[in-house]
Amino acid sequence: MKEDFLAVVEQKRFLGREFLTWLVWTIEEGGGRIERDGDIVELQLGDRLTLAGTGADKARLTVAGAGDLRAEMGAGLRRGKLLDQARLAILRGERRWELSLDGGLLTYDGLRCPALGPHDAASPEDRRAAFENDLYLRLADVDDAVGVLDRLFAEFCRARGGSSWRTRTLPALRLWVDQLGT
Amino acid sequence: MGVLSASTSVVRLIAAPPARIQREALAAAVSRHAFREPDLELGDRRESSGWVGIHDPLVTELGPADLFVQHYLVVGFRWDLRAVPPKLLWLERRRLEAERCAERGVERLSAPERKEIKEEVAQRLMTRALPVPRLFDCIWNLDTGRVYFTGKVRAAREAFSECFRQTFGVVPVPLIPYLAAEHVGLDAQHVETLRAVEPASLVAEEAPRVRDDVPRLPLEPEEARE
Repeated sequence: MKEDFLAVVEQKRFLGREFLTWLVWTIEEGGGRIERDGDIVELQLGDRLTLAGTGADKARLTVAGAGDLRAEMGAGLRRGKLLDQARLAILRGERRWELSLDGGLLTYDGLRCPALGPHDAASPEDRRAAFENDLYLRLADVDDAVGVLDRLFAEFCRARGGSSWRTRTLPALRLWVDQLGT
Repeated sequence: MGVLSASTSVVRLIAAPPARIQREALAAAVSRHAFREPDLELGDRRESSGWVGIHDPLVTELGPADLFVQHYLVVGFRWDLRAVPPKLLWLERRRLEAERCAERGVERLSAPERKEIKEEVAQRLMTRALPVPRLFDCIWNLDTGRVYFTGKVRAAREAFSECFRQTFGVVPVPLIPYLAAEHVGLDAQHVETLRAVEPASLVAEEAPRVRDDVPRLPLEPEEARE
């Protein structure tokens, strides 16, 4: 990979971290229910998150556990860190996806999609057809999860570059950070 | 870890698909860059990689029926890494150093000699090291140009990118947030504005506190205050 590309990755890593922090704020403020263009999904914050410093502050803070993580998350954010990775669940009706979103790079780890249905393929031809069917269904599920997060990323991008960022969104985020877990 | 595993990693990249999809030609290109078993007796190559069937990693002659599912090009990527266990290297190096010392009746070898021994032992052990294979999936949406790659290991991703470039003639670029902005439906102006933003601090700025008990400049002499 070229050095200038790696430099951009490093310099602009904050954008993804700000997105993830904004996303968790959106989940917390809206009770997790997100309705966009008639599509209703529920997002839940999972049991593991990592905060990373910006600039000279390279120290990372990982918080994991089944309980309420807000106090530790709030402490990290108030020290100037941003969310770098967070375990999330996406629910649409009875369907559930789980993933760790790496905000800095916009990659997905530990992605678990809804279970695929059973099939009883006997012959090799049937097994091959069943494999392709499963693959196609799984790709549709991955596209679904990615699509939900892409729509929210687009919303963040519009807000981040818009005039209301300084006047409305940033003060609301700061107030949330200030009071989180206290 | 493939996309059909219970849990997988997904790295997204973008690569412009060919203007005209020629399935036979693409399949031939994939087969040309398929995984080949390295000759373990030859050389000290640490890595070997190449395409395999997504349905069966032992299949390396791939036709259109193996690669195309609807509008996706799907193919497996095998990446083998050979490495010498560090502790074994340390033990074998010490053994050889002790032998040389005994042969020459000295207590200690010079630094260049020890370095030479280290390289010699590492090379010898590398020829005997077994490769550790890793399998990943590559899914290229030929409508949108989006690529899913199911591996996060940096060395594997770099090998994958190079193999993809050699096979399809296009470099897949990771969709980091900075680049993703132009692929999520934003207009050019929004993208440019976003790319110019500076990091924001989410920590509320404290209002400056005014303390009455702290002297302020200029300090007045006591007699002037009386």
